[in-house]
Amino acid sequence: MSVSDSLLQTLRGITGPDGVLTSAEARLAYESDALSFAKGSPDLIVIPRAASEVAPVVRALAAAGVPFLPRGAGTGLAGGACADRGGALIVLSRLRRILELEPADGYAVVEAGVVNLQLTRAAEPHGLLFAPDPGSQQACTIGGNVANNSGGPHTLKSGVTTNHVLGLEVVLPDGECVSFGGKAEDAPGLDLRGLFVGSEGTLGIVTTVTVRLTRPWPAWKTLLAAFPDFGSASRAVSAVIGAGIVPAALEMMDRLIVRAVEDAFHVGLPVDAGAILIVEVDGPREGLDRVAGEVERLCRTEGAGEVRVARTEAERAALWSGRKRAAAAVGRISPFYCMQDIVVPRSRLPEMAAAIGEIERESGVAIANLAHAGDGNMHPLVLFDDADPGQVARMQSAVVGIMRRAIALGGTVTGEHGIGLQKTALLPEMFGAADLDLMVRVKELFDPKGLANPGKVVPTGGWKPGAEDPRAG
Amino acid sequence: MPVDPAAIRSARVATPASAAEVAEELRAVAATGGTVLACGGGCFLDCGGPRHAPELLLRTSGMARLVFHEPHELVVRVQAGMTLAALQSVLATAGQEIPWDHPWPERQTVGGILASGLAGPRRFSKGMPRDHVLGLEAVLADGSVARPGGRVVKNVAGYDLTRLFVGSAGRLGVITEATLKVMPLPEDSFAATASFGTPEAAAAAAAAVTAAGLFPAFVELRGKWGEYTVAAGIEGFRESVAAGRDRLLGVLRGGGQVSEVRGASVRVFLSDWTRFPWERAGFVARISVPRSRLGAVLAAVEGPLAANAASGVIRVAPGRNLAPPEAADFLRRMHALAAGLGGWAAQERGPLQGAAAEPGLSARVRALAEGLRSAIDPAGCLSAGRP
Repeated sequence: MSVSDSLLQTLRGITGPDGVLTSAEARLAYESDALSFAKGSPDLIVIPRAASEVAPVVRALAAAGVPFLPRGAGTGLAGGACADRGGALIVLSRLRRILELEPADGYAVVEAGVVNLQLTRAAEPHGLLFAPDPGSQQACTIGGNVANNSGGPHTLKSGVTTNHVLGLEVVLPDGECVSFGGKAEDAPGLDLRGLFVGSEGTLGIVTTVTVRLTRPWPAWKTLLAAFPDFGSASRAVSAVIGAGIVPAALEMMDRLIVRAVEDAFHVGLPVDAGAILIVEVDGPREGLDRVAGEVERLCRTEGAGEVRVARTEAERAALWSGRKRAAAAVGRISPFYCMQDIVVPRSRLPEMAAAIGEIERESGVAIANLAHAGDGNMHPLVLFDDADPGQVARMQSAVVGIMRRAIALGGTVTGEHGIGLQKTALLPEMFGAADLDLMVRVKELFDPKGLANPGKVVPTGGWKPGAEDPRAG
Repeated sequence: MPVDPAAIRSARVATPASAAEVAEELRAVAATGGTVLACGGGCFLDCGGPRHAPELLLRTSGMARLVFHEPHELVVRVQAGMTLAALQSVLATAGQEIPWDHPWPERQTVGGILASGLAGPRRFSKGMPRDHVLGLEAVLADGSVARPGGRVVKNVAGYDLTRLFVGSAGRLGVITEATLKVMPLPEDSFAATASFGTPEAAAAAAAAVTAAGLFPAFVELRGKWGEYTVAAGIEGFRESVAAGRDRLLGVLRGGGQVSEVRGASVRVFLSDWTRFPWERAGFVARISVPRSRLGAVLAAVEGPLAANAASGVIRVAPGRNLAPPEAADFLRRMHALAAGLGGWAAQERGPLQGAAAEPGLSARVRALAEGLRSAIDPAGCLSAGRP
């Protein structure tokens, strides 16, 4: 795509001379997000200095007919911030001011580039936090969390990003600024805030977010239980929830992950376990010991051999350290991996794990499994060597196989990472024609020229209106 | 007051049993260019502006079936015409509930609650109906059946269309089924009320409960002209409720006439409590502000009011059947007050239409919402009952 000198001049007039990059080096640096094998160079990179610069930037791009997409920290795992069709990448990482933080009212107003952990660190002195805590929370931005409706290990109890967003300031694809919701609850009219969360930059660009802050419970108990296999660990998850206990976190790692973590970091995980479950319960001090004891009993009933209970903050951190470094550990045993994000009803986790085992055998690529088991949200990591085209092809077929199986079990192809580049083609397998048609109508209403992150989320090919709804009957 | 569905004037009444039957009815109406109004128990039918006599009144009482309840998944799917009381009794068999405490649970339907989007007192601790919906089935004006969302607790596949339907007052489609995220019943519950003579004292007591580290399940306030009651509750482990009871009573000690409710009676207390302002006729304005500004609103409004104090949402019923110009004027004044405090006001129930009912929305946001409505229902078949 050719970008005219006059457009570049206009953009530099808005953002300052260092706010617009077009060099080959810069275009290479921004060619992918954390779905690192999917590459596409933007034609130009625009880095506004202030939220107020985003609207004139979008107006200029729209006037020139140049497509655009936003990027926060680039930690997205689905390629949502990959400029696979070129155009302008609008990088929001300079917009990192916390504009307001009101402990008594329980909200904060932040710019889109504020880092997730930065917000929680700012809220902590007031006894508050921002509940969504994705694995990338040290780097990922609130704007990115909104774009992907991000979750994390604590969503079973505390919900995903949409449950914690009160208001958004958005630049629509024609450059007009609007607010959806704000600092108060029960905004009038249709819930456009809710529609916008998770729209991956395809309906406009979020510049400022008003989030609800959460007061964490004063007490917690963290247990690590080692099970002989994935199935028994899954049954323990169902038993705990069936007993009326909703833990703050229920994280599972399979044998391959445990061994990788142990080889890399020597954190003392039981390497002979077939699966490990980390259970964290939180609540008021009174009664929590009894509930934690019940969790331990249920784990043992379902076959847990060893159960470790953290007694101090340091012991708790030690139990979590293996889980938090799992992806990094897998990076040491394979040149590349592709992390998936399927969700199935949690009682179907054993079936899903078995299906992944079959896919692993058929495809010949190794697959390691992490799971937010309480949500039924699995992150299979498909290991491959990107230098070997045969392995890349086998990885891709394994990934599609995993997603199809999740749909067949009543689940979804993405729980918290987004549709991005990889999964658009599978939406017609999850939704009927009426739903897909609604999504297209929403996109056309917000972005009639199709300039906002084109090709992402909404299936623009590969489905036919009037096709039969796969879920009917 | 709940509207008696039998008293609604319409050319025709249908009681379909499934989405397919709803679709058939809607296609028939679309062919004649008529209008449709869907109705559950009639409890919140006045939300979302005035109703005109529709050609077809679509009663959801024929769709009251449980589709599935999977306790280990914390998920239930029901048809939209199931009453809240019936849903709670299904869930109770597995020690579960949905944290909705709406008035008249024997009449109130799941579809009505979702179409209104209205939340009860426990919204502060448990979220709102829109937070509990995992998936929906809704019939659109052209008779096509949409099934947005899914049945798992995390799902970011495609646009989140479920949020659009929740609170849309039936304008986008007729909700026929819903998959809901449910919760274990608390082991124990406790609620206390205390009375106060001034709005300042009541607002201060509500703020004190919210800030006391009690993790209240709800903090409510209601009253009029020098008589205000604060109601607050805690729930959870039996040990923590026992310990929290004394602390809550301690915080409320400054008020007069402290009374308390324990255990399963708390839910009955809440559904009685939430009848105001619904049991009154006429116009109701909803004012939303950051919760620390509650006292400023209370000091400025006249007329009976009820507040989700911890959420900063105040409903005011001026008490007379206001003519549209008077209601619009009242709402403009309330919006100016709320906007100065960081919030907004809107009509929750009454005679106003369009921009007058939602003075806080910008022209572009209103145009987007209208654009969505007309993209989904170009003939205005579902909106025509509510112009």
